[in-house]
Amino acid sequence: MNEQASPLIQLSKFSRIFTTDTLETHAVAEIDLEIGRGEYVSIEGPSGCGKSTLLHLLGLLDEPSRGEYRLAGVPITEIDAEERARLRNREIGFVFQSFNLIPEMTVAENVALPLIYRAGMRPSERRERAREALGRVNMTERADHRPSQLSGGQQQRVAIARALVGEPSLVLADEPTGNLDHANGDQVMDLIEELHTGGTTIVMVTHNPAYSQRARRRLNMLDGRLA
Amino acid sequence: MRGVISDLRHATKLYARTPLSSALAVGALAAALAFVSVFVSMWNDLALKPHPGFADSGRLVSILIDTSKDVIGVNHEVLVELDEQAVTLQGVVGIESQHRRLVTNGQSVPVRLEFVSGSYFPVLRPGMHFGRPLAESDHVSEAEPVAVLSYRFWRQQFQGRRDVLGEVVELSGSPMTTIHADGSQTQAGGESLNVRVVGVMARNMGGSFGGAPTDFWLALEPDIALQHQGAGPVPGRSLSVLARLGPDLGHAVVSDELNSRFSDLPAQVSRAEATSRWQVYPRVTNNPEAAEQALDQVRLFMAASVLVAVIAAVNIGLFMLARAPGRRREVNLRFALGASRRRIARQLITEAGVLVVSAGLLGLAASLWLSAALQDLAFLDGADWRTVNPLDWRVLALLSCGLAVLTATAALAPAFGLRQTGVAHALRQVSARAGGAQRASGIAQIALAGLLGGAALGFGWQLLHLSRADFGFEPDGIVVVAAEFNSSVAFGGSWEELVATRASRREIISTLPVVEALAFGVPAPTVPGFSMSLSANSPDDPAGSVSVSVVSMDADFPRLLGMRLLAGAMPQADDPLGVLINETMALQVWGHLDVIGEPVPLTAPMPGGVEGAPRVVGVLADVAYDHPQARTEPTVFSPATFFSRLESIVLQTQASPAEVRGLIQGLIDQGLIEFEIGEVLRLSDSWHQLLAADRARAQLSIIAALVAVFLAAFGFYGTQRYLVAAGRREFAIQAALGAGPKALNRMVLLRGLALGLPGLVLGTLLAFIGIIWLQDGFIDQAVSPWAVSLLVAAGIAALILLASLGPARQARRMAPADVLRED
Repeated sequence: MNEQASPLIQLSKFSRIFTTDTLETHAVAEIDLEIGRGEYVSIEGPSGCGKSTLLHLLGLLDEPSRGEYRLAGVPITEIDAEERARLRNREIGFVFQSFNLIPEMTVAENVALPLIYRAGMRPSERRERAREALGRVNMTERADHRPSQLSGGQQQRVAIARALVGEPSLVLADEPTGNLDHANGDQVMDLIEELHTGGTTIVMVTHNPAYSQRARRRLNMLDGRLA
Repeated sequence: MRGVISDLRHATKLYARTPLSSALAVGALAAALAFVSVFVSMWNDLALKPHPGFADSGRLVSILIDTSKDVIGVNHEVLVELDEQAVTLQGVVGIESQHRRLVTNGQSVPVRLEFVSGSYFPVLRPGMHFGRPLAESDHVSEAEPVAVLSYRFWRQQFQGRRDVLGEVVELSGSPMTTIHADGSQTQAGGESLNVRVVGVMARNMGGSFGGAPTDFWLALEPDIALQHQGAGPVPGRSLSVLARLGPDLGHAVVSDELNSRFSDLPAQVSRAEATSRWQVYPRVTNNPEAAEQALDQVRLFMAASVLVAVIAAVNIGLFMLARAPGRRREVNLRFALGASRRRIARQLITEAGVLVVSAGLLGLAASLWLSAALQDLAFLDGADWRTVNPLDWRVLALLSCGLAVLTATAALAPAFGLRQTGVAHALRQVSARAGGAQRASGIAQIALAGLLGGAALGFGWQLLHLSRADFGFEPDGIVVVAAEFNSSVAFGGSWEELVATRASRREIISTLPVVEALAFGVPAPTVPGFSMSLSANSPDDPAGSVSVSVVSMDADFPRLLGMRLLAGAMPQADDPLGVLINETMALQVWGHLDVIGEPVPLTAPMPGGVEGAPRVVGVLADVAYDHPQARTEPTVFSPATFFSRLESIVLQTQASPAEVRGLIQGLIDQGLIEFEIGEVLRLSDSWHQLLAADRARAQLSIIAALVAVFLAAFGFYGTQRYLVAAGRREFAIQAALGAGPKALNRMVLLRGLALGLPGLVLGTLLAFIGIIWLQDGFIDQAVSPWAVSLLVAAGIAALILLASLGPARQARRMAPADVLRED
């Protein structure tokens, strides 16, 4: 099969059920979805509708209770945790609402972090690629700073640099502007749009209709299902 | 008060939430405190507590003569000269302990006597319960024998009757035949003594020295005069000496005076040598060397138990510190509701106090039971215990101070943790790294575990080394039937009689079916028995003399015991003058092993019923008669000695000692052989017993090290677990960025190694220093500090990795989606 022609994400009867002693919650229920390479998709919906759960499932941070998920043609329910980690490292970049930078590391070290898990890459190459990624988000001059020395907007730009440093085919953004003011939010959205323009597939969860409109494809979730 | 009760209730509830961890923390500290309490009690008994029976006993010293071999007492003449002329002493007292039997109502009871010199009561000033002490008039030669009873014996034997005063009691003795170097014999000590009771000692006076309690105090001088009345020379009395220091003088001044003004006196005492010197010990003891050794051991293990307690205490601190993040919300809420810092501090101190006091009480209770068990440790045999009591005020005061410091430290830990983690950013915490207190605690725990582990390895190595040492004979399958040494045994006799006695015994004992082979000899290696020392001159240096031990044996003795011949041949059964010597004797007397045919240059004839000088027929490899580390004495193994009739029966047999005893006793009862059985033991057991002290020391140090290692591992595990739990968001982020389970596992292990590295380095260094230090008196040079340090380093690395495995699995199994959803 031609890799470029096949969808990057294929979900079939895809469900995630959380079970307690007395309750069964269908956070993601029977979803069928395909997302092609290079698509820019936003997911909207009220709080608790399962957006973030779906994003974590797409990012291989969680496992479905039922159904099938193929990422870049790889059936993820059939591979072990190590292989899923390798796939996540090579194919996926994450941007979180709360940035999730490691405070003990410098900006450059944070950005280079995904490359540590790539076997055989030399430290000098890691540093070079981190510098390039920081350049793409205009944060080169802050490379040696600690995250605590940056503003929220700057931290999110560093997080975006970290997401793109491994040149993933898919970037998953979970409320990337949720902790930012309007100006910084716009800057972050511009960066995400640049990534899309560069060919990266974007799946973004957001509450903000204005930012959601910038996506080429908009999905709505309600009670774990795509509306 | 209500607030404190409320704090206590809150603390109890808090610990009840994690019962296993709380119980482990309290239990570990309690166990460590129990050991500390016992060893402090022992130290207190041996070194701190004044003698309860004597007034102002801190001013009393013990005086002995130090020969090159051991320390010995003085005779009465020397005692009198010291008492009259020493200016640094207020008075000098001589004491001789004896065992006799009290004959009462046709029955006899074993009793312990102290014959004391005239200045005993005025100088030592023991208290009286009633009656009078021994007076000056009681000490004149012709005085009527009178006695003072101990309070315990008075209550026990005389039912506490006050009319005991004036009562005359009969003390019977066991006569002992002594054969002197010139062959003359005297009997002494067999006379019955009728003594009139004149007083009862105070309740707290159990005896002048530790060990078995004394029942009677009698005047020494009339007893010496009594022995003068017998024929022949007066047997020497070896007296233990106590003295009271002159005003404002220390024991060093006394030592200086004795060794300058009275340096010639030791030579007047039998067994003393020309180089003998006075030794003054600042304690009341009759065996200062053994007491000093016991005290050293107690100090060593007291230090070890304190170290274990420190590790356990650090564990409590870590335990409290690990709870700090979880308690941020609670403490913050309390602040928000108006609680003052003082109120919060009281809460924290109460929480720490509950843990520490619970552990202290448990430890104290355990120490009451443990103190009896630890007093019986083989390496503390020489200690003069009086009352090892963990409830003594000094012990309790020391422990209370320690517990107070511990409570304060443990209370500070959560406060420090709360300050360090901060309340405001608690919910936003991404990663967690060990703080200064955690690092310091971890380093201390690991380093101390390394030190104790090194000591345990050292003692274990030493034991292994000793167990595998060549001791010059083969003990397997050998049972020794020792002869009872008492007055009924006749000494001397001709060579012909001796040969006939041995042959007769051999013929009869050989009929026993369990006997595979037999020999006669005394002393058998490692078995206590009669022995004799003579002096020998070196042919090259006639002025220099060597003290030589004599072993009496028949020709089969060395063969049966598997002794190894280095030169010459085994002795012949019909040659009374052909003797074996050991390697040490050959080297010390002649300087080489080529001595076959040489006459043994003894300074006095060896009384063995034969005329002529013994000559060397063979040289044996050294045989260990004592602990393998003890110096080997030059030894002559002679077929003919005056004490041959005290020879043990040495059997090669598979039968048990009890079985052998029964069979030999059967022969005696039938009148087939004339023999009185003393101890019967397997030679391998006797050898094993020699290493009992080393074994006990190794076992105790291994237990201490295991506890320390366990606690250190538990503490390190707790820190690692806390760091993984508090830093779970970082692990979730790393997982999101592509870290697989293996990578997360590796990350935790590497962080553990980095965290434990300073402790590893310090622990290894301390183990090295510890072994070097232990080599100065506790273990020998065969133990390599380098090898021990290497083992300690490997052990600590393994400990760190093992303690990190659980937290690593925790990180590996964490669900990143769940953690990231906490946003």
